[in-house]
Amino acid sequence: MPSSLSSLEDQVVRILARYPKPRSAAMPILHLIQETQGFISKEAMEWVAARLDLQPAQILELVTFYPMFRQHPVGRNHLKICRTLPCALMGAESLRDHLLRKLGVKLDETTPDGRFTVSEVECLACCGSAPVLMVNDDLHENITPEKLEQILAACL
Amino acid sequence: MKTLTLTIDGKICAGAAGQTILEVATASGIEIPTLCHMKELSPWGGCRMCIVEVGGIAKPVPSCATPAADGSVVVTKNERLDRLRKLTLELLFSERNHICPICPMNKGDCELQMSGYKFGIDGIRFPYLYPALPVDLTGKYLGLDHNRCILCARCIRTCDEIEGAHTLDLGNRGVKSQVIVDLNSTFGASTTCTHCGACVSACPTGALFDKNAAFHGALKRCAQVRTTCAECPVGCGLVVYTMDDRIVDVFGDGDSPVNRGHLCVRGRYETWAVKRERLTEPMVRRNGALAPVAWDEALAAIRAATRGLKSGEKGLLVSGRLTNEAAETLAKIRPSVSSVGMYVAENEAAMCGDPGAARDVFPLLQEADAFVLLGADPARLQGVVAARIRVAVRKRGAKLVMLNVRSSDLDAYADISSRMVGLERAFWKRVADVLKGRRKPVLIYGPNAMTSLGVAAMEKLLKTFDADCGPSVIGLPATTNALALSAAGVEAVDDLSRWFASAPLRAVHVCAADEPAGGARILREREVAGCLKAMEFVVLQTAYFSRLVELADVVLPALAWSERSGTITNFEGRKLPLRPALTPRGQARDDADILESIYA
Repeated sequence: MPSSLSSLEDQVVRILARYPKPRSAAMPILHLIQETQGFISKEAMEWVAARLDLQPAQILELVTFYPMFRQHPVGRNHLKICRTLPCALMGAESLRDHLLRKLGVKLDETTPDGRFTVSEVECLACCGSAPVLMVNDDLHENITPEKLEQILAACL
Repeated sequence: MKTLTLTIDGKICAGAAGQTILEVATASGIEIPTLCHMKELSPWGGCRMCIVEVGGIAKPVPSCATPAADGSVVVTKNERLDRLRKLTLELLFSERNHICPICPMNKGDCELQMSGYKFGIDGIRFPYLYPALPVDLTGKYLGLDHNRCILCARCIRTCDEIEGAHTLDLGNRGVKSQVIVDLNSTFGASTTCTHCGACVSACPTGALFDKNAAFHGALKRCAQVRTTCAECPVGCGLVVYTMDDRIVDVFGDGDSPVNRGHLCVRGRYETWAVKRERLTEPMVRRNGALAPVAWDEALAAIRAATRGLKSGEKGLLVSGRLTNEAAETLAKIRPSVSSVGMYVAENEAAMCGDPGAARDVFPLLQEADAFVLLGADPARLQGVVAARIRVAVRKRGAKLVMLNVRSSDLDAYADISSRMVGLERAFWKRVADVLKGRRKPVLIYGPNAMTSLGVAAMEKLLKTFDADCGPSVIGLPATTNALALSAAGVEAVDDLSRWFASAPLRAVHVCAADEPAGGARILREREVAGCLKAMEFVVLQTAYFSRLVELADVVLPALAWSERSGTITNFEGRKLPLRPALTPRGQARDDADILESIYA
């Protein structure tokens, strides 16, 4: 068992205690792994499968079904632009292109300094203040190119 | 059980509570089109071909996943349902690259294609998506072509619910959904796949196919022969598909009370998809080299060489794959060959004494809540039994304790897995904890339980089960017909070199029948090669070439499994038929006939 995963054992035990069947704990454990490791590796999926008496394919099914799970590391600041219709009508697409041009990356690529990764996500439930952008877990509303500059400057 | 009455297409149909509309309709002879449904699997409701109208419900419902309700009025055919089913088919055809002329299932073996014909699909109103999808040809015996997949998940559910491996699953979502193998692996690299081929049998299209059968002939046009797998003592029913006197494919027989259509890699593929070098002519050694001869000449050579020998100087060593009918012949020829032995698997001879009472083992496996395997490795030898155990462990939470001499693919599913040596009190305490409270335990023992270590472990184990709930004890031999042959008086030989030494043998006849390795496994035992070399005369009767041929003075071609007839008795005591699917290759003859023509 990879040592970084075994350090999660206590938390995994607590999560398992919340469910009648171990299988039900798969989602929260995957979230825990992504939070602590940054992404969900193959080793992590194997570990979760063995820990829950599931087969590896059953874990990959979850990880590939839910877009919020990722199998690759991202930069320190994960910029998530909404791609759903209200944001698109309010200019999210040109904002996205602007951001990618400025950082010199493609979607889901990380800048060479490891600072930024840009991804598209589904609705962030703030259509009234479109377009919106999330930086890691922080939501930013009514984004304009100027506002974007300030947000990027504030990112470490 | 509560009974239900439904009106389906104007016909009064009786069903039982818990049945689906589809089950009631099928039992009443009303056909509802399906695509993702398989009666062996739990309902899925994915394809929407089986939609029906139920009185009082505005939308059509999938009949495969809707429980039948008492008094409901069901319509299975009308213009609206027809239109919707056609739409479903058009969507399926437009999604991937269903190009029939280059598909191995073309010409009748594809359920999607046949549904297309049935519903008169002559054009698709939707733009084809033409996705670029890979083909996985790394599997030893099977291939996966994502271009032809309709995502019905029959393979996934079969792998999960019948083989118990859950190698396959559905990855990604929406239009990008795709069947995945392990963690995005391939069949060739999979760590969980058992190569049982059940996914291929379940696939309604050409997405999963047998590499060795592809483009060798449409199954629909093949002759079908129902026979019994002779690879192990489980005795699974086979359906052999043949065309022009060659095997095109082999599937499990759904009507077999033993395997109910399921097979393991040995029966499904190793029987025909592995190249084995056949022996087709009698041969006699002349001036150091084997030369092909006619049967009469070979038999004359044997008679000439053994004429001066007493019956006690002639030994006959037979394979445990011989049929019950061959055992009768052996009894008949006993006066002219007094020393008859049957070679079996390591430590198996001690299992052969008492065949035990006949009984149905599979219902026991189906209900068991704990399995203890002692000196048995069904994952390697009797895959259909291993599948039942995996399903019980994974799906029903049954416990599994393994005590073996070497590692097994089932170890990964076991609560406790250990070699048989050095077991201390703490170990037995752990076993007792695992088995505590289990009401239907099953103890399966194999040849390696017959060693002194195995017998000691068996004694310990029997005391470890809850006192009021003793286990069902099941013997699982390794050799196809060894139990029945020994019951018929053919003595199983524990130590071959001792057998050679026990009688003043001068000539020996090895009857290997259709053993896959031509009987050469006897050479694995110490000193057997030396014993054979020390004989004045060696006759080898076998379907396949092996190293044994070099040691033989006369070689006689026997029938292979696909050409044999007769019966074998499985580990449950069922007498099962072998039926020839092919004509004998070359000059090959039946084992019993050969023995009779030499010794009778």
